Amino acid sequence: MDFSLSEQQEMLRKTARDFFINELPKSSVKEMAKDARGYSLELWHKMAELGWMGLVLPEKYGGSEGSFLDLAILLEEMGRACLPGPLFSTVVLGASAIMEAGSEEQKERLLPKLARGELIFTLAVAESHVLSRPDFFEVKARNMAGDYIISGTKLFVPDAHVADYVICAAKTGRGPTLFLVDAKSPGLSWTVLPAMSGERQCEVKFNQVKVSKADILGKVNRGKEYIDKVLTRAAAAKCAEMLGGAEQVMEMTVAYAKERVQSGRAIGAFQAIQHHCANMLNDLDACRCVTHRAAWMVSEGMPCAREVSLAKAWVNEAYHRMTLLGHEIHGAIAFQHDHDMHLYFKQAKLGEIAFGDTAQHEEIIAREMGL
Amino acid sequence: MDFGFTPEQEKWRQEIKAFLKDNPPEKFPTQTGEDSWGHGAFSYEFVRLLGKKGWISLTWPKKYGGQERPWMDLLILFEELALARVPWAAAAICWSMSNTILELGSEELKQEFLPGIGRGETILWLAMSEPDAGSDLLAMRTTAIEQNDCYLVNGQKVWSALAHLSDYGFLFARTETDPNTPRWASISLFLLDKSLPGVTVQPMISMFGDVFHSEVFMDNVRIRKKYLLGEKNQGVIHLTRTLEFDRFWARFPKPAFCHRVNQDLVQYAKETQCDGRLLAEDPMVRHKLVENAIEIESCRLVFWNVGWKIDRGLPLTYEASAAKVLADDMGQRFFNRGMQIMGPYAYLGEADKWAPLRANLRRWYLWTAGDSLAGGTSEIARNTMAITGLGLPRK
Repeated sequence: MDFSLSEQQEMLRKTARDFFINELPKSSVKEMAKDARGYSLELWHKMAELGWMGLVLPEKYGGSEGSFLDLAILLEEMGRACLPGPLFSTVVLGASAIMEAGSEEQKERLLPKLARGELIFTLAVAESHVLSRPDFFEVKARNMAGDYIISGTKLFVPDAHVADYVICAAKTGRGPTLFLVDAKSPGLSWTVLPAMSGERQCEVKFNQVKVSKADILGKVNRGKEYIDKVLTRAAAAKCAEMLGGAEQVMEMTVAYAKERVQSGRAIGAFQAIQHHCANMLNDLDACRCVTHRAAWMVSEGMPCAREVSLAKAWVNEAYHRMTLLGHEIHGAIAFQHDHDMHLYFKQAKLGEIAFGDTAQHEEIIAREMGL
Repeated sequence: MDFGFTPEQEKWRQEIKAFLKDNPPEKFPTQTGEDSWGHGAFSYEFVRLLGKKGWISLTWPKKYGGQERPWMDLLILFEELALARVPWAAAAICWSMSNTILELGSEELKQEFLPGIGRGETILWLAMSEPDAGSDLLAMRTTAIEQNDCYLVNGQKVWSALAHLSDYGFLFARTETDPNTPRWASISLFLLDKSLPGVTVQPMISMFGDVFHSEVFMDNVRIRKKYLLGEKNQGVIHLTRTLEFDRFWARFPKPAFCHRVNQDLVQYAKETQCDGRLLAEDPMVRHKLVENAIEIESCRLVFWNVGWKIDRGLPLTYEASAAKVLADDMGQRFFNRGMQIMGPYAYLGEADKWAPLRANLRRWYLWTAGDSLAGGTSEIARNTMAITGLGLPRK
């Protein structure tokens, strides 16, 4: 057993933390929430130069062969910084789906560009009546003389408004199939859904969108396996992002409790506040343990559906509790737009409902327990 | 990062499992009922068998009969013993106290005590709390006044866990009575022989009708000077460390034990019909069982994280207190859910295959009223987390 980071991982963490402190003040996070694109292109390219898009990709596709655990550490820093933009969609969803299901030709064609930050990807799974069960997909792809015609509407597709490719999971006969859809394809349109924070989720309409056979990702009708794997990775990755946010909440809350004076002393000297902080600390430490264990198992290629679900279910609830207490201790000031605390309160709820809420992961665990 | 165990550690785990298979814990005679985490009851015979295997002294130096094995091996042993629900109630406490003897004891004391503890023949209890010194431990009034070759001890201890089955008390007493001396510089630590004249152990009947704690009265007890453990008047630092150790070691087995009980509850739910369906098909029952699993596993990983720090020799500040709060909170919710799943059937008297689970669950549930108080209240532990761990101001 070893709960520590390697020297390289420590370095990655430090580089990322310093980078975001310098490059992404919270004022800019808040500005970006109102921006049409939702993120800074300049920052995007700087991150690409640092090699972060290709961190976990093989060297032959322009990556640096990092582990999923390395990516998790990077995502922690992104969560801490409240980074807006399509990095998660591109790297965690897009690159994972291509690595998992793509042909050699597709990998060679797409991944080096992805690694250079030149292509943005997203994954379209949810629909108006489906969150996690592909067998109920209403979006269909019909085989027309070898090519496919996709029809229907996907929901909650992250960053589709800026994506170059939408990887769409559509029903094809017996099961779902993944299609690599050029976002500029005729018949594809998107609307950005109302946001709570800086996130961009879209409704994507496929109106008789033609996709050539060459753009099928993986095997026909076998999409569920790929989706499950990618969404398991995404759930673990989301835990990492939330863990980073939770660490920041802990730090800023304790710092505030030390400096805010009421009734003649720092509020952190009151036991009521101390016990709130202690409860946050326990939630945080457990978040770290379950998240790192899950990320480690993904890294090692072990079967880990149970452990990832366990992590997500815990982090969902624990981060929520932590942000509520963070607001409680900061008092009314954190209710103001100028303050940063609310960014994390929003991040916690958005993270909680992304890639499986608690109930969904509990159901996975129940099955793993033989229930 | 690595959340796995080495092949040697896995082999060690298998060795323990094989031993437990050859020596089924439930076959051993017991002298008292379950302790709070129901690691089985307490059995002299079983603890002596652990001693015979050399597993009590596993981590000690070879010269005291130990094997100098790493802490990780002891943690694996704890986890396996808890999974098997062995009758070892007081043994976990002895492990932590024997470490203090190793650290502070004179050569003479080590030679006198360690072999017996290692064989599982000498059992220690923690004599700390007093009627008016609970969370404010430093308010203790038991005095130990230096007199010739002895300390003359007068006073009373309370909540002395399993003192009625033990041989020696790990006694904290006031050795400096001058009110101008700060409290932290006036307490010392002794090994108290229960058979000394003037010692009276008065078992206390608990809320479920049997004995776990005792009151211990000391009336002009003469403890020979050599039984002073560590330096005179420097006991407070040992008191803090003993408590911290107790918080960690006494609770490390808890997630493993709860995991085992949750497995039983899962099986019960899969086999038990109520109102026309299996409990395992009731969404609320499933939800409770899964919540149990999530909390148990999170708690377990936090304990391994702390154990790993101990193994690495990394300094601990708030971790043992934090783990105590986490485990005891978890346990309270866990056993409550267990009772909810069984509902009124928890009170069936029938002697069917679920009878032991029913009886123990009732008992463990009642214990949770005391879990958050044992080893220092969870409030005191949260204070430690806030002040020591997070650096929040005392005043």
